[in-house]
Amino acid sequence: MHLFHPKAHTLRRRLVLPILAILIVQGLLYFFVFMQGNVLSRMDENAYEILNERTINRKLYLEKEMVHRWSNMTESETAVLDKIANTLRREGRSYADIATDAALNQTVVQDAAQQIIYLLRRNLVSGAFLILDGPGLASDTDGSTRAGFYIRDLDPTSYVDDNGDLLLERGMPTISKSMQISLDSYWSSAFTFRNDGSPDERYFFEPLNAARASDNNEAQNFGYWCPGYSLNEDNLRAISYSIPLIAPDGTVFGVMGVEINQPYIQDMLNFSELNGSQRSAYVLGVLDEEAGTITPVLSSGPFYSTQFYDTDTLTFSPASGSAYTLDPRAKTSEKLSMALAPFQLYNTNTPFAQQEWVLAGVVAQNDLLAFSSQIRSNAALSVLLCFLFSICALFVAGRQITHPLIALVNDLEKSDPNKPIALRKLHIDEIDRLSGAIEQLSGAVAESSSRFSKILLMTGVQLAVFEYSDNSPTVFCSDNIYSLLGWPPPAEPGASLPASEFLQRMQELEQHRYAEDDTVYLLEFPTGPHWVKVIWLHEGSRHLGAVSDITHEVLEKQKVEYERDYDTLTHLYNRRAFDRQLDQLFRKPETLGVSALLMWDLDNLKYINDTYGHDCGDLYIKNFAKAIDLEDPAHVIAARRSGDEFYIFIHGYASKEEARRQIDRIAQHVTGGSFVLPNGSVFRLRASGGVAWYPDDALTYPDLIRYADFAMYTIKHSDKGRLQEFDRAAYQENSILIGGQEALNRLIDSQLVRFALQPILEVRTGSVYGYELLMRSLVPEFNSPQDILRLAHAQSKLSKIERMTYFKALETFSRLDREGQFKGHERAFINSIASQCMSEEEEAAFAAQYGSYLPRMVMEVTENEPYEHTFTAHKIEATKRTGGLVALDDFGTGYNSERLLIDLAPDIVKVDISIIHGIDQDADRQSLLNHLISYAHDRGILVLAEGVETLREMEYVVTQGVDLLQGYFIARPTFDIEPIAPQILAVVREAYEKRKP
Amino acid sequence: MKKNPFTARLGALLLCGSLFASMLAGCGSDHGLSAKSPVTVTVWHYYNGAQQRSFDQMVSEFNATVGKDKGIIVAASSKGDVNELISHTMDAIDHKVGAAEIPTIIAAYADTAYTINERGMAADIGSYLTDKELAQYIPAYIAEGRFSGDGSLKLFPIAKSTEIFMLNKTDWDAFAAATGATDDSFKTWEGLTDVSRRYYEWTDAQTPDIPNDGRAFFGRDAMANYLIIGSLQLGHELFDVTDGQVEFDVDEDAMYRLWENFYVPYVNGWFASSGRFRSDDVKTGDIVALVGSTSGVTYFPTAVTRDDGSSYEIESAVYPVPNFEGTEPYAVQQGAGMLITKSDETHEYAATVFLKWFTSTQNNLQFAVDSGYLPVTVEANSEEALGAAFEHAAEPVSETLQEVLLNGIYTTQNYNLYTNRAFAQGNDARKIVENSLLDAAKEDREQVVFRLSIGMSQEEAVAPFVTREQFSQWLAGFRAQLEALL
Repeated sequence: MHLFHPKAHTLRRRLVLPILAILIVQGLLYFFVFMQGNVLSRMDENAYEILNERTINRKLYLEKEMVHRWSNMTESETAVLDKIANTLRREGRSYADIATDAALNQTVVQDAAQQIIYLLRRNLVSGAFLILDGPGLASDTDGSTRAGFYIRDLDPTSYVDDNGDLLLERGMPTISKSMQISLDSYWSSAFTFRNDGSPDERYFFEPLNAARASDNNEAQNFGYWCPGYSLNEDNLRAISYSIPLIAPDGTVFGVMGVEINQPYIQDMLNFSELNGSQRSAYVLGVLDEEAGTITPVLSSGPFYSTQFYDTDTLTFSPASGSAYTLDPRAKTSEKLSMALAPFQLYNTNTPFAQQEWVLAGVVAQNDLLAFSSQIRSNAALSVLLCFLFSICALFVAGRQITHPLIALVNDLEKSDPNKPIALRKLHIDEIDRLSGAIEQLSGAVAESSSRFSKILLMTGVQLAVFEYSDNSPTVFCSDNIYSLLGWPPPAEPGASLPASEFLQRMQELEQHRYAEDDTVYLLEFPTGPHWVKVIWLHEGSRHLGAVSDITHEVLEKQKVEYERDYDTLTHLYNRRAFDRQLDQLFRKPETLGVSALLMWDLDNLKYINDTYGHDCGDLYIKNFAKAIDLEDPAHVIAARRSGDEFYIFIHGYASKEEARRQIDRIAQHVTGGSFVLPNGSVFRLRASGGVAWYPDDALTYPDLIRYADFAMYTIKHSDKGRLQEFDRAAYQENSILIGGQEALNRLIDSQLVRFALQPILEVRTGSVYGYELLMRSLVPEFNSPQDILRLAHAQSKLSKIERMTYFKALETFSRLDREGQFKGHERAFINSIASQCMSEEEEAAFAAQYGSYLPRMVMEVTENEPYEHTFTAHKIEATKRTGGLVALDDFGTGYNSERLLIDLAPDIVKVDISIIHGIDQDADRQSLLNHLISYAHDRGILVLAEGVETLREMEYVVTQGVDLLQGYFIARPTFDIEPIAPQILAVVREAYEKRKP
Repeated sequence: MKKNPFTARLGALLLCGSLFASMLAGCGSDHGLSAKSPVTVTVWHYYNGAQQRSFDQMVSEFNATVGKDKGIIVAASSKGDVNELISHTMDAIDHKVGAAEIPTIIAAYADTAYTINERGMAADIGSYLTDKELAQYIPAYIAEGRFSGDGSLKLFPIAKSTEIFMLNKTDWDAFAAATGATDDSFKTWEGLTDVSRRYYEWTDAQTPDIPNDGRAFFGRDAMANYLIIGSLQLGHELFDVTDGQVEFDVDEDAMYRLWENFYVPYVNGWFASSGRFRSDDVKTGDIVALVGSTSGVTYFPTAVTRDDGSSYEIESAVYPVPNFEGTEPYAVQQGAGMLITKSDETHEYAATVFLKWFTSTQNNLQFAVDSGYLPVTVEANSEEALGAAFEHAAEPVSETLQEVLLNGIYTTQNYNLYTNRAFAQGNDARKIVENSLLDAAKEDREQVVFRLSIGMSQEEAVAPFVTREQFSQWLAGFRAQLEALL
């Protein structure tokens, strides 16, 4: 290498001089050129600048619309995704179903359509769409259709609230009807895509495929501005912005977006602003900077179409300053000037970031530069010269500085890092000083590394290190690596190991890998097992590593794990470990075969504890644990659940018989087992057990546990000391009785009921006579009021239910009254419980609290009630005394309805649904009702038909003279008062008018 | 900044020059038009779909040819529908905040034109046309534009439409073959009601297991036309206008016949309307036939798409609009004209140039063939001229469109044509007539559907509605609504 200047200069001097020279020459050149120019040339520049500025301003305006208004879809995206999630949840379907199920897709689209209309309105765009990547039609056999919704607005700037300005382009007919959107001439019920890369389909496939190719879930990152497409054969051009629809689980299942059509954008591109002439145009396009071309997306101004009618690509070349010249087409000899304003539409690193949209402002050059062309060419020439000169100057200057530096770097790279480094002098002050510093530093580093190694040795930390690079023949190892890994020590301490031997030994070490962790190795030393951890660090061709002894930590961890998973008394699994084991097993249900869960409960443990002390109780538990531990870990998992309860899960059997043999073995062990009590007598093990089968009884282990528990408790409550298999029928019948006790207490203590109201319609007036208050449990365990009554009966808690019924029903009724939900003095029908009665204090409290409502109460007495019962009689008497009414409920279901009717003399008789159901077609029922009506009406008793469910039933009972109606045909029970549908009232009125006089 | 004396002087010179030039132009023979400094004529219309595309295409053609030579640039924009157009126009005229500037040309019906003229905003188009030029247009159309009573022409005809009866022939043929029904039924409203009932019963009988699932046969767009033309045909002009003053002639017997042939079949489910336009209903298979404007033909489908998205191709057939039994044939003559707003001579003249070009026989026929509108010149209004236009059309003209236009011409030549006359409350009155009967029918049909759903028979379900009392109640309300306008 040859150096120009053997004498050292500062780098600054070297850099500044040439650049200064360039600037001077450049300045002189410009000065020269502009001194030659005159006012006119400045006007030219101004003209370009104005063109450029106007184009940029227009671009900024359009960019703002595109980025901040049209494509602002965050809110709509969330709303649409929510809608779709809701629909899928409601239909019980998943995102994957969208790819195959046309019917589902139609529902999904229908549900989300309103959001798309909202998007169109809010973003002031000419169109909006939602497309699912799944079939649009059930008849689609070749997968060419997609379900979706595409609407257009004829005039986005105005808004009509009845969708009158919208046209449906794609979407099912039901959407058109339900939303009153008219169908476009080109309307079709689904999208049809050829998927052949057609530019007209990019708006769908581009964002979809981009999102699928990435594991990023942020839909906005895949937002795609489609540069021009036609939806229909009408060739209405539009641009669009579309984003993929990404489910929370990452499934990309569709696309949504907005469309802005050509006329709408054209309105915004007021081309005449460019220089006030008609010979100008705006062109929106996509720039190919390398080729110097623009693919026009759309344009405004009639001038453009006269110049570039039907042109696919515009070629341009740079002109003065920021302006360009648009290459003329054969059609015209007109020279055109152009300003380019690039858009910033995409974030960096998003898939479409390389697609560069530009707005070009185009003006006939003769118009723009009405004056001298001479100055223009001068200016162009000077720019060119300056450009060339700058390049040359920079090249020379660059060469001067880079050349020696490159040489130095080469030297540095070739040097051996293990030896002290010596670098050549370049006679450039800064670089020479730098070289000196590097030399010093390399010496210091070597020294400090040896010091560090010594320090490590002194601290006694069992840590060894090694280092080598791919092309070096030896490996640096710290001395203690040999003892740590049990390698034969080298002949002389501190010698480095040949690389081949090092790698060979490392290879051997691989065979001692410790199963749980792939950086840990288990080595058998004469002193016992040792665990070592080897950590590698790869930096290009350099490899570093550290070896440490972690025997102590591993042993600690093993101990902790054992204590965590095992019961210390029985050495069986504890409950948590058992759950984990089962959880793992149930992840692979195919391996379970026939399995069974056994639940054991020791009998008499409390007796042993109380009589012989807890040590003896522990002995009992230990012996039982031994009895059930078959030591067959492949098929049996046993665990202690709590004090005296044990789980056994046996699994992987081919048949129930095979499994049952195993269970029998366990049972024999239990019954045959015994231990000696402190008083010398032999105590036999005794336990009750329950069995639930997989897969016959349940498919999940929590269910198995519950069922086994149920079976165990069933046996525990009858004859102990046996094993009982789960019986589903018994479970369904009694589970509420067994498990419901706590639920019932909760229900009563916290008054967890509420009341629904079903209206009773007075036929004559068409108004609501009253509401029956129907109890509904807020405790999920109870499905119906009957469940509550059955359990309350079994638990002798009916009186509490009776009291709660009265107080809570009236609380509901009075609240609705205070809220003004009743129209007048509608009555409250309350179901009292047979042979139950509130205490005198309670009655007094009730009267004090709800006294004003007593005259509006109707107490329903069922005929199954022993009405002679003092309590019932008392209640009837009390009701009548306070002005309330008594209704005989369920009339016609028992044997002595008529006698009761006579004895009780109620105010209202409620005819049971079993009589009303189908009465319009059954002569027996009709005759029964007619007799009742004639008897009741003679005595001033109102007849109420319950369970009226069809038009014909209603018509029959009304024409026969029934006074009151209740049933689904009239209204269902609700928690708030809702008026009876006017159509229903109308048909009741019609039937009433047909009544025989 | 220091002012350069040279540029200042140059600016002054330019200013003088341009003033001089514009003065010259103003006094010139071409009303100030110049190819070098073109004027922009803005047009607001309510066309959309195929009509809008046709209109836009013709505007482009004008701009590239005549407009380029004369210095006229036409910029057209659609306001979606008539009501939108009216509200935009009124906002512009009232200079409401945010309203656009008043356009040069507005597509307007007589009522709207009347209102704009009342504001003094309508230019006299006649002053830019020679008698010879005016004589090329059908006299009745020109007469319609001379509504102001002072001999001025305020509304220029560009395209007209009338109503026709269109049929999904494929589904009709199946029904006709099975039942022997004939297209004679389409001659009268009574016949149509009857055949619609038979169609409902026939479709109901296709599924014996499901009662009351018959399908509707017929639907009607523009209910106002049904009532206005029907009433007229039965001897009573609903809007009796003299000198811009209206009297409402609501005759009970005439109205009862209209009721019997729309409300009654509607609540029975024989007629229906579910989408926004009846062509939408044919498209979705909800009805088989419709009466609508000739200009709606481009929306008449070539296939029916069922609710599940499956579809089948259909053929169509076109008939003249039905009449009441024993009456003279009457049909509506409609279509907005173009109103030129008052601005300056150059703009008003430029607008006239565009309208003349647009309605020249060749162009007028071109627009007709694209859009289903009927031409407005005498020369273009004949089967021969249309036939020639079909032959020379750039793209083949669909058979349906040909039939529609020929039936349209047939109607204009053989029916008594009636055009709404302008009066102050015209827009509001028309809205009432448009909606009153239809709303009543829709509402009561909903009740009937409910009543069927709870198990009533068809007769029971409609019984409370198809009564004279129900009619009287509606009529009283209808009358009251109209009277309230006065």
